Amino acid sequence: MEFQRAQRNLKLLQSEDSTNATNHMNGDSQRVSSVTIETQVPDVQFSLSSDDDSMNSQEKNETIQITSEAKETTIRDAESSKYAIAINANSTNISPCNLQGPDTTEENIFINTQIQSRLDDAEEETNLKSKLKQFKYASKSKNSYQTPYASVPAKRRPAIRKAKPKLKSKARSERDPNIIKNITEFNISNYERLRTASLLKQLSGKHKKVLDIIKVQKDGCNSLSSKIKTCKGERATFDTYNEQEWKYISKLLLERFPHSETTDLNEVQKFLYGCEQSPGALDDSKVPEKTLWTASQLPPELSDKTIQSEQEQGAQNTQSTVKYLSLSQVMDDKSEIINDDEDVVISEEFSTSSQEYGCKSVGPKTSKHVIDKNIELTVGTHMHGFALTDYKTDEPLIVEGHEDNDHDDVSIVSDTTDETSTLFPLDPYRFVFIEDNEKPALTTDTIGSTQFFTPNTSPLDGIIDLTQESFKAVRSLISPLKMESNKAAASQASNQVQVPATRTSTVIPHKDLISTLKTEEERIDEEKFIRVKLLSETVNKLDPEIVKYNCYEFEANDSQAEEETDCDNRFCIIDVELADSPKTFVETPIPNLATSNNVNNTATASPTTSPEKFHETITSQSMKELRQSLKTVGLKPMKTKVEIIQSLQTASQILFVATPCDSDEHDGVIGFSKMEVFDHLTELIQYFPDLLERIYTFEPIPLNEVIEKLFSIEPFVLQIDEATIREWADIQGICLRNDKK
Amino acid sequence: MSQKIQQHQVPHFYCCYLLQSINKRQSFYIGSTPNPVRRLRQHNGKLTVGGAYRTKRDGSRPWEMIMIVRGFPSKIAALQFEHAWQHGYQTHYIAETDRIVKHKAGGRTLHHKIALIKLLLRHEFFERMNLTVEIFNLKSWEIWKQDKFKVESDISKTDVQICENALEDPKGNTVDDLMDHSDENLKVVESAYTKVLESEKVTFEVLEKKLTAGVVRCGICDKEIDYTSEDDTLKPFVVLCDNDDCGCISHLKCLHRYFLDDEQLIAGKRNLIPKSGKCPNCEKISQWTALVKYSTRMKVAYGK
Repeated sequence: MEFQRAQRNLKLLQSEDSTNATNHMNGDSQRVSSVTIETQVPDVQFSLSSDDDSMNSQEKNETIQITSEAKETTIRDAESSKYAIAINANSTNISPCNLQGPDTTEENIFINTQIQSRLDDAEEETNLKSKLKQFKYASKSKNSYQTPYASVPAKRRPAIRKAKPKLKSKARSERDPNIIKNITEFNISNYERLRTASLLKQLSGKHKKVLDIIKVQKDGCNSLSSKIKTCKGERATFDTYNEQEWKYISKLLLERFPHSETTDLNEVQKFLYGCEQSPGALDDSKVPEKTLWTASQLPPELSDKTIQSEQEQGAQNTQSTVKYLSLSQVMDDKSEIINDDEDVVISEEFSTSSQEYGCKSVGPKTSKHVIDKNIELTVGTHMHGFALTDYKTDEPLIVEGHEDNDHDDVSIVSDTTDETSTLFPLDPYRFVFIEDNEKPALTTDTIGSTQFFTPNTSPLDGIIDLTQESFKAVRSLISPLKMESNKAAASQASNQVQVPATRTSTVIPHKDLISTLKTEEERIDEEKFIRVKLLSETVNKLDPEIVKYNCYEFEANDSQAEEETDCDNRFCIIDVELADSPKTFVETPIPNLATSNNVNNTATASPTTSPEKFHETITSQSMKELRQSLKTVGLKPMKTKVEIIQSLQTASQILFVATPCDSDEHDGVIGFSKMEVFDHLTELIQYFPDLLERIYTFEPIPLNEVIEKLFSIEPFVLQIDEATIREWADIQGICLRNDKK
Repeated sequence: MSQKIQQHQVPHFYCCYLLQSINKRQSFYIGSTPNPVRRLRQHNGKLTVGGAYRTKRDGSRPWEMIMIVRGFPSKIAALQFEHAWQHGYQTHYIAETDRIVKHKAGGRTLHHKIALIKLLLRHEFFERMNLTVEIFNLKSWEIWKQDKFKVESDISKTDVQICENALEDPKGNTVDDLMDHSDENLKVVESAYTKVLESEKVTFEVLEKKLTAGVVRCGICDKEIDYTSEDDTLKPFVVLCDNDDCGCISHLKCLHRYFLDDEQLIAGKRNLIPKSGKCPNCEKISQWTALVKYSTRMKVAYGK
């Protein structure tokens, strides 16, 4: 092409003088106009055909007609008509110049070059797009198949661009035969339309809009021929592949996966577009070649044909199920080998639900499949291909397939169950989900349990015990979601956790509770005590009541209430304190304390369960929820989740201790509210008779003093938000004041 | 300890007041004072000692004290009330849903001012104080009764008193009229103020007489109380029953526990401060605030 263009340009240059002199041949005008429609801007054409008034007027009429039509058309027409009018004006502006004759050609050239540059840009863009379009579906087909009509002028324009505008008549004469070859049935009016279309498009830059306008015009026009239809067809963009593209794709696929057969592709296509077995539409004999594309054009239907031997069907089914694996399904697959028993179970589950997937065995594939010796192998490769993941070998799959077949023979399972063989092990959850949706009635329990534990049981050998353990414990161990990350560690860790689980039921939740917060602190007693000491130093200065309170707790510790010591550091402190603290102090409120604590300790069994639940609920909450609950309780806002949980937990423990029996009455997730905090604070005040006296004599008390005093007996008070304390003080009638300096 | 250095006592008188300009009736001022008479004179410029900047603006003087809220157990409580009254749009003593004044610039009418008092007195913090509202102006009294914002609950516990010789609005606009009105208002306020002081003084003197007679025993715990001795431990907070015939004396601490126990039986919840209670001897109901008032004053007067 380039060579041709070069030649043509050379010719044009040579004949420049002659064309200048003669300007334009009237006889050629007809042809010239026709050519310009294809290749040239109207302005240029006007200049060239300035002598031919009839032609010019005709054109104007055309454009006017177009504009009027455009005005009549609907929404976007307002804008589009603007463009049209603008073009009209443009042409009228230029034409008088042209009428002046050859003297003003220089100006024309200038204008033309300006317009031409814009046109060039547009053309380059369209060229690029057309090139990219070829890549769109990676179709090699260059031949007859729907070469876009618009691309024809696009191909030729570059030649004209290089040629000087005056010499275009020659270029046109050269190109004429070609054009006529391509567009023989077009009359001049059609050319005009196309030309205006291209012009509008290029000048406006809004291709889609212009196309819409022109489309409307064409629809209204009777004279449009089949060519236009093809044009329409080209313009329409389909999401589905056409036949040639499908062919090419299938070719590519077959190249990529040499082991797979064309029938496999057929099955994929059937999976995508449903079965082509619909009675009226297509038969295998009729359409052996129309495979993918034709199927894609059909509405999805399910075939009823299952007239085959059991063996064949089994084999196909194994294949089909595998073939229909989507990439995501394959990627989700985490299990390695599935036992036959499970297969049976799962297949039973899925006997009905499988139809959803369109996994029916279909006619065309059968012959090749039966002939195929290594059905399983193809299956394996198929999986390999689709999954794009590293499967260790194809061997296990092959074995599976065989086993499955054998199994089918032996156990004589119904056809439908065969179809759903589960060579592709989806997520257990997915199974459960489907099962819930489709068949809620069937053996849900067994299925659920087996599905739950299969993923882990296969790698781990001696863990059958686990499944027979208490449900809760096992669940906490085997979390299908965290399976990947924990797999190595979890197996060992699970064993460790399991052992204590058998000893006592209460330890497990407690361990969970602490392990998250305090790591392995509980195992080492020494650390515990160290921590205790730290806290005790601060508590040393406290009032004697506190010591007593702690003393009591220490007795409780002696009676082997380990949970208490772990849950609350406060209690641990006292162990150290005990040696120093004398029991001599006896005040009136102490009996109350003792009783309350007695109540608490006697009820330790029930509270231990509630904090456990509490911990579970808390840890499952999101950060936002936690913050919200912090707010509702009236604790100080914390930054990290651990801090929040810790503060909520201490609050819950303290408040449960304070009101052991009321736990059921509280609403909300946390189990307690601000009111409990208030009540607790009110109780704490009772331990300070002096402070209480000042309160009930309405003496304004500095807030910090209140907080300090309360903190001395209850470190938790520091975690309570100041606003909460103020609110409590208001309710209780405590008059607070700022610190005196 | 700070409270030992300066023993707390319920002030003899502390009130929050509402001023209305006699000259410009739409101008108001909210303040608090232990001595409304003196303060009113300051506002009106009759007493130059003591500031009254905000009420000094041109044309606003003289001011009329149209109502007071009295009975605050401490200066700080009164200041809290004053601040809440001045800032009804943002005070935490009024729930956001109940607020009638939404913005700083709003709530400039007498209706708003009065409704704010009602809202504040509904809060349990002030409710516990058994505050008394005293109104010196008939127009304000009407507005109080009108309750434009319907903030008054069905059971109105607020202790409202209309002063005996409450004033009408000023009759004329002449300077003499205004000044006369101001003078009359001052008299009304003064009478109310002195009346309160005198009545309380009488009650206090009864208690004082009882305690200074010698050793008495607590009606509840039967321990010795001797306000005549030098021993501070024998001079705790002491309460005298309101009933003249009863004359029961007890520790404030003992009575406190006694009242709280009663309350706990009824309410099922133990608070820190009882609202009222029956005398263990004569079963006459006494307000806790009143008991504390005399007890603290007694302690301050004699305890140390």
